[in-house]
Amino acid sequence: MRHRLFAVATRACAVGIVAMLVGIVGLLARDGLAEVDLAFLAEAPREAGRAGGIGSLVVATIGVLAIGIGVATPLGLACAVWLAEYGGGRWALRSALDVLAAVPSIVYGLVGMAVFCEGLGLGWSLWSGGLTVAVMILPLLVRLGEEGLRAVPDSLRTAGAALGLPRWRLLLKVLLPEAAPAFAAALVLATGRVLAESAALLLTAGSSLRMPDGPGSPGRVLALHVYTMAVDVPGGSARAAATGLVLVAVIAACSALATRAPALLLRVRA
Amino acid sequence: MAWALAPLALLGVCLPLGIGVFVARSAWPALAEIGPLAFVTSGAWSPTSGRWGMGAMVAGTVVASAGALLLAAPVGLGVALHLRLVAGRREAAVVRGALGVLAGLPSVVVGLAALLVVVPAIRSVAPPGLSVLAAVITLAAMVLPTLAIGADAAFAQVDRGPVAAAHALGLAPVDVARGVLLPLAAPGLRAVGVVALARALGETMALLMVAGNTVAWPTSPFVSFRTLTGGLAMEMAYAGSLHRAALFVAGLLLLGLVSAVALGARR
Repeated sequence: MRHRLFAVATRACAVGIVAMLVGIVGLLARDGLAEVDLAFLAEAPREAGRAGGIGSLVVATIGVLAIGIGVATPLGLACAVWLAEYGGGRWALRSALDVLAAVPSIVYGLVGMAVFCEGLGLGWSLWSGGLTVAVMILPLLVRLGEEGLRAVPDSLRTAGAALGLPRWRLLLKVLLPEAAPAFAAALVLATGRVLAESAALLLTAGSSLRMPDGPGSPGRVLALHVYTMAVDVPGGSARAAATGLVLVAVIAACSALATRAPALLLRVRA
Repeated sequence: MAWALAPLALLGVCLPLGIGVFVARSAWPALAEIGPLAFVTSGAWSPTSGRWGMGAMVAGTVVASAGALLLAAPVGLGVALHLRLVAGRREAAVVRGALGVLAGLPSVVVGLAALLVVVPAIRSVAPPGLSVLAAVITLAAMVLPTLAIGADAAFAQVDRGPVAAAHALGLAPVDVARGVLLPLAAPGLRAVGVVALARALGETMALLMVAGNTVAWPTSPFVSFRTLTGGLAMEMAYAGSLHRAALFVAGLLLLGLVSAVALGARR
């Protein structure tokens, strides 16, 4: 009896998870699917977003993403290599990254606003938003990158040393290519994180609906658009659902890609 | 190579310190002018009339996070136990896939779903619907995947031997769970709870959507309230200098709370 109860109770929890996902996506689809078409993706928003599409927001989102990933990747890679292959002050760097990983995104927003928007004079812009999310995804990139490097067998390192290969050549020619699939997966996951972010970008990239002229102009990202349409624009909830649906589709594709990326990359190289 | 990497690694170390120092420095004018005690004692939060009491917002943050964790932890644990002890291979793959997608959902999407379903349901029982209860349910939905995935990973790290032995002795899943898996995974589970707690404390936009955002003590599940993070997101854009510094005090509080939780979990 007890055993049956256990099986039934835990299964209920598992079914609940799947039901929750289906429920949320179903809700978005019910309210938003009718709105989504090519014109919706491409057109500029009109009437505060109640009409038109999400074209300028897509551009702003891609801009923030490109800057964030572009800045965080070299930094994250360097920290990961340091932790896995060199490592003075490992404890300090790890503690620092643990704290960074726990910092709420709204606090990143506060600091980004004060440092990038005001301190560096970038204002509300894709630059400020991109730099802020770059710091935010750094711990994720470092952790996964380090794990990837650690998974490279030591025999390769000793073989390199035995051949008299300088350490940097070993790193560039052997270790980094070996760990590339792990880095790729980390980047895709980080992309999902950036796409989902709204609080930090509200304070740094701004909430303008205009098409950004360049990285120096402000722009509203898709996630923030979901919030604004749902809360601040009366009658905007269908548009919020439609935007959410687009966002969830892209993020789900990213997470599927992240689990497949290592295998795919390996196949390309083989 | 080391000489090129060391400065970058150093930068990685300095970033959180920089953030802490920066937030503290920005909060300093408020701490100096208003005094740290006023944030506790002046009762209400009304920056325009010089009242700086943050108690209600702190209580809102703590109550919503604690409530969400209490609600989500048993379910998350149930899911992880199901994956380890009951589910077949295919079923486990489906559930893990769902967890992966749920964990990546933008918080605004969860907030939107709650706004469309949970809030009206609560409103029909006890208006206004935008409430502590709505926030707890929303936040629980958000930390649930974190908890389930983390617990699943904690169970995966448990030494195989004792678990296999328990199975070999013919113990039922419920006894394997209670006698072997849960005790052995306890440290890992605790760490997972802490990660989820940090996430809940810092969540902003989803709560902004369902909390109602009036500054009030969370005295009942049905009153509308505001969290620290919500206050930051709403007021930062228009805050004047002293008000702004006071908001940085809130940020500092949040940062302290979360760092303590994160570093406490490392042991």
